[in-house]
Amino acid sequence: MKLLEKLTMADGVSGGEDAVRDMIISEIKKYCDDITVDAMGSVIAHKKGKGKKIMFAAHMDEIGVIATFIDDKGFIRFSNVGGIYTKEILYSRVRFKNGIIGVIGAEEEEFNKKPSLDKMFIDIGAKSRAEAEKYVSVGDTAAFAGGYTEQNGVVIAKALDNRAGCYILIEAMKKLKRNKNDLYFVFTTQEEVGLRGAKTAAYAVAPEYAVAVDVTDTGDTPEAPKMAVSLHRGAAIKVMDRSVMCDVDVREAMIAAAKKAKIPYQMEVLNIGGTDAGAIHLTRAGVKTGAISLPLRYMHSPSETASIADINACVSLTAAIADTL
Amino acid sequence: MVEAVIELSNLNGVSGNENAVREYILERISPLADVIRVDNFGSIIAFKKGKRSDKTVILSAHMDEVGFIVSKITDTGFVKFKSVGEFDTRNIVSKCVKIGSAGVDGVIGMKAVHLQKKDEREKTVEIKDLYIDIGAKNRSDAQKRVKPGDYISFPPSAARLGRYIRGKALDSRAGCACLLKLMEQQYDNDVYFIFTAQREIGMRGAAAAMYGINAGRALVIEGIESADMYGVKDKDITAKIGGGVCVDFMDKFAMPDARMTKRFYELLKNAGISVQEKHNAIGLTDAGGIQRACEGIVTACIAVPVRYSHTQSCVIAGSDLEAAVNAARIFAGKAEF
Repeated sequence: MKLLEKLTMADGVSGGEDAVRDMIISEIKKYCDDITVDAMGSVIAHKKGKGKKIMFAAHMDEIGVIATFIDDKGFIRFSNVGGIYTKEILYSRVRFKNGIIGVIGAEEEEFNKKPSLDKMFIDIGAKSRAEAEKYVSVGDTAAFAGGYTEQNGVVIAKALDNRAGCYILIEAMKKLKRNKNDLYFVFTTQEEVGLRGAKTAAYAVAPEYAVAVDVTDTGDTPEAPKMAVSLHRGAAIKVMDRSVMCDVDVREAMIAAAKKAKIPYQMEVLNIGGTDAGAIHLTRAGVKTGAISLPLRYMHSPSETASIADINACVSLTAAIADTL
Repeated sequence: MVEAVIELSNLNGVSGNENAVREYILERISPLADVIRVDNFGSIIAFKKGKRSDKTVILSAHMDEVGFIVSKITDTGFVKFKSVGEFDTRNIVSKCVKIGSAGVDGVIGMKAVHLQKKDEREKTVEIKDLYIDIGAKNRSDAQKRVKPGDYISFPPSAARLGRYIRGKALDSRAGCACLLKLMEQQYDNDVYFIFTAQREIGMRGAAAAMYGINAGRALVIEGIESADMYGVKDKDITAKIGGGVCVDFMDKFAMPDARMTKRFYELLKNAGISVQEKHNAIGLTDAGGIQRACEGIVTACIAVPVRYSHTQSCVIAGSDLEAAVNAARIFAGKAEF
């Protein structure tokens, strides 16, 4: 899956999605009638049809860090962009937009406990502030670096949350020829900091129906918290999460479409987290909104793991629902 | 501008009750704007037609300040209250306050120190354990002067403090003073000047004010806690007071447009404006409310550093106000960005 590898290896921390946006636009140009980029940086692609106005959304951004201060010795202090767990990021590599790699370290006293963010720093090997400032400015974002691997039917990569969702939308767009419904494929920004890009994009599109495509947690690893979602069991049809109660009509239409096309699916009830669906369904006078989720292990780490078969099931379900709603 | 910010600081405008500030501003801007309206939230939206207007720009600042509201009067005539906006309650004990439109005097009180248990002395007091003493002998005596729902603010006290300015509410009125100054001149672009309500309780006025406005870009002028004080490590200082206007790249509620912010920062440095970077990603600003209203607008945010923000004694530097005005003038003046 060359495209998925390309998408996950690109960096697009919330607010700095430029590289991912450019990649997506060049990939989808051939498969839609019109593309706009809104004030928040979201890509809105229109695939015209005469039927219902449906918005599909997948967020382009990923979690990361942002430089806040550079000290005299060239060490960079930083803040989080989106949900990161400080005990998991020590010694991780981060990559700034210009390709500069930094290692996350912590002040000595922090080693025995869960380090607090203000006691951590990024080391880019600079010997002074002046040297560091040649490569990094305050306000620059950096993504967690990690490789791309496919083996045993799974894909392991950083930022599968939510480049996998972007991949699913793109592949669904390619599958859809002569669609009867009026389709908008939206690649949103700043989901990880509060479902922000989806809000303005949904206002502009003003859809009748919406489907968010994102990742979800699983309950299938040893001693995992109880959750009825597993890898390799198909596309997850969301019932609810903290941000949304999915519209019953949309949910039922997804189940019917999956059954008809023999697409494997499972139901998802997520009691934490939110998705773009949360922002979209409250737009204007309300939008009937559902969500398709890709089961994902080790979310928000550089080694997110998903099933290739599940990804393909999500593509099929997205394409199927586009013309059955 | 120092005189204006002192006058503005001395007005009361706790979120939802910005009337006095609004009236002051409306009186001053009526000769300076082409169209002025007050929206249903109480925000002021003033429009100034450009000399050569093919572009529209928004400049925005908030009017409201943090304060309190009367919740109950006790049998013994003490006034219980809730906060409007966020406070470090350690800063409010024993402070004088003004209650309601009549400005009834009060003192915020708490239990005497010798009656506090060890753990009470060690932890921060909560608002529910505080009360306001208005010198009433019982409930009916207090009810003659104060009623539930009355707004409470710190008394006016703005003045010069050495080379700086002190006073309450400077974290919002600094931006208002800048906008008033900026309205005195003509621009090539059409400019909306927006003075928002209810920022301190969730950036509410800003989002509402944006409906029906069509503009290409927006700049928010804020006051931010500088954390620039005795004993603070360099890495923990947000911005230095007197160090110039601070350019915001991220806060808890917004990531201002990264590309425009970067270009704007470089432009200001090259223009010789006294400008500094913000050294953390905390705080809340109207940028989020404005940026994400309706279809969204490309937004940048600058801030005047404020020591002791959200207290009765905020401290700001006049030179930072000047720098903010100069920065906003460049933002409003340019055709493209």
